[in-house]
Amino acid sequence: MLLKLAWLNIWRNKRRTIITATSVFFAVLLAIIFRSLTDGIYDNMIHNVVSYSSGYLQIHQKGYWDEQSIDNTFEEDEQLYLKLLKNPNVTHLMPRLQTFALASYADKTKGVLILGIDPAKEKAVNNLHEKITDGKYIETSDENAVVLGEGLASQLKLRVNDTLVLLGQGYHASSAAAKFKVKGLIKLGAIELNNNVVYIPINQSQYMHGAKNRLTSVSVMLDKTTNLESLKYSLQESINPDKYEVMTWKEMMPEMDQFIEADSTGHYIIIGVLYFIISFGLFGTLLMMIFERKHELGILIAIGMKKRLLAIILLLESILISLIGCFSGIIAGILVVKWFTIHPIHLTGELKQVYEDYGIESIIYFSSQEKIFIIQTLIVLALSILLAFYPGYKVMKLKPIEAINS
Amino acid sequence: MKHTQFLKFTIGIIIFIMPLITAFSQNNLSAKDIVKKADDNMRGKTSQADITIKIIRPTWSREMNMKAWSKGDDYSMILVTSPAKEKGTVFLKRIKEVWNWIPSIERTIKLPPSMMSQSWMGTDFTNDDLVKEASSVVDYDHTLLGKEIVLEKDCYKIEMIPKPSAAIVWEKVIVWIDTKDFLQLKAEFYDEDGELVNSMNSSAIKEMGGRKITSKIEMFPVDKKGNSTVILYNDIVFDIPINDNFFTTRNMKQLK
Repeated sequence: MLLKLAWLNIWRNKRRTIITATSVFFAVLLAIIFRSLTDGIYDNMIHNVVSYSSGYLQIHQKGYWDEQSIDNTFEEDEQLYLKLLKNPNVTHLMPRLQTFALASYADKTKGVLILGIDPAKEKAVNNLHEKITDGKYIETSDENAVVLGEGLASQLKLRVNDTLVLLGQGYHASSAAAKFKVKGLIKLGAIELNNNVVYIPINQSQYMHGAKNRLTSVSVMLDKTTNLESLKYSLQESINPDKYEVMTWKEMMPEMDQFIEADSTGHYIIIGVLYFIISFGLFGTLLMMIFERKHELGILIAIGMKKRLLAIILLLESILISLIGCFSGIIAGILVVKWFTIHPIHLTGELKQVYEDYGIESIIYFSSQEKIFIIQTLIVLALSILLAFYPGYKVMKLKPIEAINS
Repeated sequence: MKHTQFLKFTIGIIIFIMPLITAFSQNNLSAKDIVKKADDNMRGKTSQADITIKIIRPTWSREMNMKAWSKGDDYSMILVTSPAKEKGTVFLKRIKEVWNWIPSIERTIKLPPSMMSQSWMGTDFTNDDLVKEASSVVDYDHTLLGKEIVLEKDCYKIEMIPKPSAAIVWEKVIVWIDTKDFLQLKAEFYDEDGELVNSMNSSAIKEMGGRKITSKIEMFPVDKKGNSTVILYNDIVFDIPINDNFFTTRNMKQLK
């Protein structure tokens, strides 16, 4: 009965209802788009960074992370790969042998990070071959050739087809020394990597270190939206936990996690301001409504309508309007986000350059996690309901005679 | 009759006094002389040795074979003969310089003094221990602390403190040198905080190349339980003439 009354009431003045609903609608839409955009940018950034570095998850020999020495490597194991790939969220596996050594060319020498990689597997994940600026990418795991970060090459003053000498510590205290032809130079966004990395085919790296078939880590790539922590535990369960350790990128690169956290605090403030503005817009329309209907409400009370019931009707009206706004907002939000996930925004010009300098794709993706839609809608709904108590409160305090005479 | 008695008495006295005199004279040996004698004992004028080195770790172990040449304090050379992957690697000490030849990259590397205290080929020995850049005689001040028994042998206990000018990382080294054969049987290495870092034991005294030497030397890093490195002398020849020209960076590359 009350609901029906409220429903009829809101359509009595269509324009007012539509204005209020529209402000809710834009509130929901903006909140959704904003969250979806920032989350999308973070997801993309994480994806880009981890695909070059650690992977979302990494499997090591137990104890490797605390003592990152080549003696803490493990034997490459097909069974392990099969077990990992069985998980539907796992998209790619990248076996790696990661060591540190001295790299030397002519009379320059520098400490470098040697990444023994499977060129084909790496290429499939991070398109390493597209980052080559000079020369060619390595093709097979056996090739006697390396690809260097551009920054490193310029520090060593070396060019494609020169011979790079690597000298380091091998497996079980053997010495690791070898020379390689420089096949290509690569430009990586992360300056740290660009100035230090030497990519070398994994079999060559294993031979050089006297560590046949041994790996320091298997990097696991996942679907962008996977829940990291829960997957970590399910993977940990599926493989031998006494032999291997599973670590997430958050554990391995806490500085990036902290950066994102600090950066999103800024976004929370912005979105807080957004909610604030939205609330005032809503409040304004409600205030106007009360003012317009003062006469009517006064008469209703004068002819015997209980104030309490009247307040409830007004509350219901507000909730109904908010619901209409929210639902249309969600639908529009889904459509917008859907559109942009299919057609992501390709940045152009200077901005594109900036992104590429940081090694991040110059494309803005939108995150389409359900979480965003639900949370943003609930927040706006809660806000509008909270505000809707105001007309109710006003009615309770209404003096019929003054109201009728106003 | 009297004559013979006197003779007997004199001989008796001489026999009685002789060991005292030698003992006395040995006691009079300065700590530096003792160390020098021990050093000369293991080194000779020149030496050529065939060595096996075992690296022992809690979970694995590894063995390398090498040949070593030395001439006095100034020259020494070590050639790795196995395992195959490292075969042909040479370390050369020439007066105050240390060089390393790595055949797989065809490079001669000069080791800076700063690298002298780093692990030598993954063993518990430092580069300095192996190539003996620092001389245990010249680069230290020695004090005799007394006598102790090590491996059932009477030993001099000597404290060696590096001279400020020497490139040595230890705050002090304490060595035990056998009073009879002048062989160093034990050494302890202390860092700048006075903490014991490494202890080195020598044993298996054998007659080799016409001298008595300790043919087994073990190094134990104190803070790493289960780790040690053993050097075994399989063969050693002393005092064969070696030309100074042998110890050159050019010769390193053709050494077999």
